Amino acid sequence: MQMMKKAERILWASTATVGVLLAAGCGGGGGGGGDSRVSFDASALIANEANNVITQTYSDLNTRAGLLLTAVQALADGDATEAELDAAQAAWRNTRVPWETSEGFLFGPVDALGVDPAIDSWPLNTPDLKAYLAANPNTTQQDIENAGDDLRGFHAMEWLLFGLDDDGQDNNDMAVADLINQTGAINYLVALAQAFQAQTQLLADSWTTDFNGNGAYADDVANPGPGQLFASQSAVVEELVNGVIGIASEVGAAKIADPFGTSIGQADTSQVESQYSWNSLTDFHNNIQSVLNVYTGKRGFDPDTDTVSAGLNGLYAFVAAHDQALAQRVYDEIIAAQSRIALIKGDGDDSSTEITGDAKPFREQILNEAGRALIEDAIDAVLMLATTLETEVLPLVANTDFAG
Amino acid sequence: MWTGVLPGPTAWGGLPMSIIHLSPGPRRVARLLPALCVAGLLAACGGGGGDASSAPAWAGVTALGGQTTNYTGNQSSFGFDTPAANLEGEALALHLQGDAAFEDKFIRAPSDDFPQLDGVGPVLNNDACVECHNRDGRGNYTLAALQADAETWTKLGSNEAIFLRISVEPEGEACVPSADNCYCAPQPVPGYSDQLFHRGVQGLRAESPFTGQADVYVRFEPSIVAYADGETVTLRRPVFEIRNPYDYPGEVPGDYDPPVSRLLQADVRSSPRMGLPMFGLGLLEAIPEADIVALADPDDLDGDGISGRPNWVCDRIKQLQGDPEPVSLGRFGWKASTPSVAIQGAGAYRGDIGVTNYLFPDESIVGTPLYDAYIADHPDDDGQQGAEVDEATIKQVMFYSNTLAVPGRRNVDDPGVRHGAALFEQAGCASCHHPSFRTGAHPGVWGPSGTVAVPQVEQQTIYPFTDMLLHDMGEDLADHRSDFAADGREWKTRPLWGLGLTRTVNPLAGYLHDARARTLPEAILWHGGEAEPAREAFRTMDKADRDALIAFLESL
Repeated sequence: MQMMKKAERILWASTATVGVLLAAGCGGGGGGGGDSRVSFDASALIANEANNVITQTYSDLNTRAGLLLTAVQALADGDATEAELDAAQAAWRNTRVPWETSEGFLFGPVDALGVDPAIDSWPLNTPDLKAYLAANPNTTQQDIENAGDDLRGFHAMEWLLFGLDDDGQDNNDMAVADLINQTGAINYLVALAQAFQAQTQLLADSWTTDFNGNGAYADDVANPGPGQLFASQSAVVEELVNGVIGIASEVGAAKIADPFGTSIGQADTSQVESQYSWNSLTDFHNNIQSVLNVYTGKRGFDPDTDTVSAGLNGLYAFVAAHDQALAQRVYDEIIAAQSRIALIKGDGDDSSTEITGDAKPFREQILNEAGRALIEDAIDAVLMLATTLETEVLPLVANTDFAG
Repeated sequence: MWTGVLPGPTAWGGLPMSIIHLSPGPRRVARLLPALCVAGLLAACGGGGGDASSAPAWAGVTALGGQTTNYTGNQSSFGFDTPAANLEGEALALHLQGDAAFEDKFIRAPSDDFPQLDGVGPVLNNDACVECHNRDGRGNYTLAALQADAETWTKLGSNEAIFLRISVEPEGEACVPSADNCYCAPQPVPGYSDQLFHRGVQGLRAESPFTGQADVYVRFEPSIVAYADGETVTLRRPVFEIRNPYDYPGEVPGDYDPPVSRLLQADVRSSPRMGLPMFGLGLLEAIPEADIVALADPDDLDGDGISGRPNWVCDRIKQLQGDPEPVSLGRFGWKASTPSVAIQGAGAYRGDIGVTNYLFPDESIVGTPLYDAYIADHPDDDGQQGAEVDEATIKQVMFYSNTLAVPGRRNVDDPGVRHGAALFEQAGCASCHHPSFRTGAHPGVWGPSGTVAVPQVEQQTIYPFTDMLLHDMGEDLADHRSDFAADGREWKTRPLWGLGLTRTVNPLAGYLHDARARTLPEAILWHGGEAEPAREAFRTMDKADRDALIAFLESL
């Protein structure tokens, strides 16, 4: 989410803790790696991450954005129906998955093109949106591209697809009549989806085909060298490690912790990401999935069916070259973080973040003590991962003799 | 904006710990432990060595920012947005709070849901600090603008890191600086301001939604230069056109002679400004004024062809403090037209984003017909008397902006890099790109409720490669617009630290004030005026030497 894309808001201030972290951070490979240098050829890892993990995530995002556009065009084509709204809502959630799993590598074109602010800004300005819709019933894609970030992107679409009923975020049962009754909404929705897909197209093309006349950006990442955007394998690995640290920190210390607040009285529901769709926990899960994908080297890694190994050419391979035990521990912490996030919804099921049956949305759980206890567990698990990555994995980069 | 304590102590990783919850910041936990690590890293990364006898003494230095230097993100896109390595405890916490606020997106006021984030506009260039300083580095043009052919104009939209400074400058009237004229501050265009805001909030211009004072278009004109060895380089420069001004909607230059809109009159000067890197700024603010002024040679008394003039600028903080002579050495901005990080940053809040604050309590366009009409329709978006962003947030962001780490140098032992360093000095580059200073006291970030000290940047030996002075850079770069003491051909010498990571941080970034140069050689080839001999030295080098010089710059 653009508002706090690299936000990490929690510091551990106890003297004892800092002492422990110092030992880990400065010792080089606190899990037992010691100070010894390790030779590592990262060429296969880098090529795999660039071509198979990152690029394919963006291609997937673009494909799903196209499906989302088709789904909202169906709403505009003739009388909108409940089934079409359901399909558009599902398409929105479906598009959300690759975007959230891309937030572990927000470098390069996604940043330079301004994709993040254009498609995933928060806060949304719903009063201005309503005023704009009333005054401009025939919005075009070009209008959207000139509009402020607070009037477009994922969350503007989310509000139109999930949040137009009177009780907004309090339940998740918007009817198609709410959409039909909002003047200009369907037309605006189509323009939003068109502008959105144009952004994802640019992003995917920049990695697969060409970025500003310099060839595919994936090639820049996969082929580091002197005078290139990335001067060495070390630079790319540093990029990847810092990227996963960034998203883990943001999830634990900002995305979850900010709305959570310091007490129930300080909880702030306005800061809940994807609150109209109740998709918050799925967003958080997929952010950690971003870490899992980069770490294992496999996009869509499924711990139930896949087995992590150095052969997958992810960061795991790099860490394992230094310290096999640490490599496994990081993997376990990623899985634990996902599990704790799923448990936030209060139904005891750690295998899914879907809000069904007895499950309660994140926005509701920050406002009751039982939910807050679960959230605190999740924050701890995610930040443990972030800290391990930063204090034990990141120092390995400087302790490695890369092959190029 | 949060401060306070999260529930704790909590069991975490088997360690009892209290969690202090702070505003977002860049990564991270390990930033709590810089002192020991840095000492170790400095030892490990230390000083060069090598045998290039002609290489300058500084050729092997890695710690360009002294003890602030960052070595954990200095190869990647994290190179510019890492906290100074010597930040600890509460200072690091304050930095992280500022980092969070640097990314905050502002929306139109009033907002019941987000009162802490409302107040953008009513005119603006962008809606968050980070949008013009990508990952705390340089901004960029949109891909559409960069890829358009030379004849095609591209309209600046909602994702721009560039804007135009504007002012009126009557012919033949030399300005004599005084407190009364704010030391020759640029004169705003009547009915506009001293900055052109191409964006407007919902409801500002019903006939042209989301347009601000006017639309701005850009295209790029190519030209070709040749090295002495015959190899050619295609340069290009941006050309801007202002259309659809609010005081005569729809007017395009050439429609009328003379033009109707005040903005299109012949006495209006404009000059583009691309967003600049944010790291190392506090160190530059802490360079003793006397040490900068000592490098000045306004009349070129030493006969080396290099003048070097300080810019003396109106100091907003001195004004607020009641100083009868509110003038200070200009240090920041493309023409060194602001004296401090705080004024540069708070001015950008008020200007670029349209968010008023204690240093700049009035909207940029207050008193103009555009503002009056907007306020008549939207009386509750009144600028909040300078409180659209509060003092605490301004101080957090300004502390952050003073304490971003300079990335440590790389490849200092490479023979080509060392040879390039020697060539840098031999070609005369170092005459303006002054290698080193020793910082002194930092004035802190002043506010009505107190001053926040920035001791981390004090007493540091730094290698910014700038003399902080103005130089005539020739006609090709001239904007013909005065800015305090700076004339229309002068620009401040840019620091070169971090230069090699520019396009790693932002692959669409360009160099120079309007980001015209896509590569470092292009940037050098645009140098003119006092820098012409140095440029010619580069242009006439053989390819191996040119590559070595560039390799040195990329090591920074």
